[in-house]
Amino acid sequence: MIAPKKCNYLKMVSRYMDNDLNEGEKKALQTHLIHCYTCQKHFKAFLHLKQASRFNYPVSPYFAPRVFSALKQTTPPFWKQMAILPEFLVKSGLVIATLILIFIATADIFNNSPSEMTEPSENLILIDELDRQTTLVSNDQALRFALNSNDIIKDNPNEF
Amino acid sequence: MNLSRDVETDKLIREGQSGNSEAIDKLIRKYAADVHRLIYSIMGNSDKVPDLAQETFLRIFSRLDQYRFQSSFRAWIIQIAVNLCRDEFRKARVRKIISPLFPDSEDSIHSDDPGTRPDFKLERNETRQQIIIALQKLDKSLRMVFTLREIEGLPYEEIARILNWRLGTVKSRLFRARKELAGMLSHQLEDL
Repeated sequence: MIAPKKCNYLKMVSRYMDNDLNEGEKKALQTHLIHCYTCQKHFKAFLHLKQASRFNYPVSPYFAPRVFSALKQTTPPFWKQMAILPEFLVKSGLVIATLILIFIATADIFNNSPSEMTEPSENLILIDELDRQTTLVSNDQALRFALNSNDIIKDNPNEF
Repeated sequence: MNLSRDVETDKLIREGQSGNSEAIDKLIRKYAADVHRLIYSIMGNSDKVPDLAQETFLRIFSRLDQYRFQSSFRAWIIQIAVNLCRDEFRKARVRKIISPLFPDSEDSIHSDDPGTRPDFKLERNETRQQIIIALQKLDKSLRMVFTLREIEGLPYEEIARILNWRLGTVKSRLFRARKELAGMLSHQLEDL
């Protein structure tokens, strides 16, 4: 069993395993190892640990075909499906679409600007005329109705 | 296998990016053992290894067009596998919390000690098997740093990048992992 003693050089032993010491540190550690039993035990244990840790994992021969069939089943997202088109075509298409959208948006803003609203179109004038005529007709009908109502009131004053 | 630029691998990746299935197959076969070993060492449960390894490769190939040859491909694969293992730990923690509510669920059987599992006869070498069992007794952060350094052979800088730690943290945790493992495995290591 490795003695649970502490030594300031133990971290250096670990770094030695990774070739992380400079020449001065290496020499200092080598000198220290001659008389430090704790460091000697740890040095051997770390070294054996390193040697025993390298192993090969047996991979199933069906692993690669399995990954392949899973890859085929996964449907790529639509932007990846577009990858069948040349990249410059996709990019230029996106740029053109963006420019068209910007053009439509700005054109819409200018159409609704107050300066153009002051000059109504021909269609608007026609609608105004129609509205006026409708109003005139309505007023005329209302007057007649009122006159008729007056006649009714005159004929039957007790009912009102 | 080192982390320096490998011309042959770069060629396979480029061919894979343009949809060459033969190149993809070669890449899977090249890194399959590394990915399996890494997941097995971190998870300590051989049942989950093939599924997580498959998920790792699915993620890699779904993002292969994003690989820009600026970092090591192997380190990129390892990072994805480590992230999947971390996700799995999170899921296991949630399952552990809710398992009393569903006592009959299969997740109520925890695999904290793989040595007690009947299927844990993967390695013929007794010491290696003991190392994997001892690894599962370590704190997860110590287990990951030890796996990445001693089992996968990554340099400190790559480990720091993958785990998002400082270089000093990598060194000190690696030391703690070695010390605890050496303490647990002193008898087996002396026999070597």
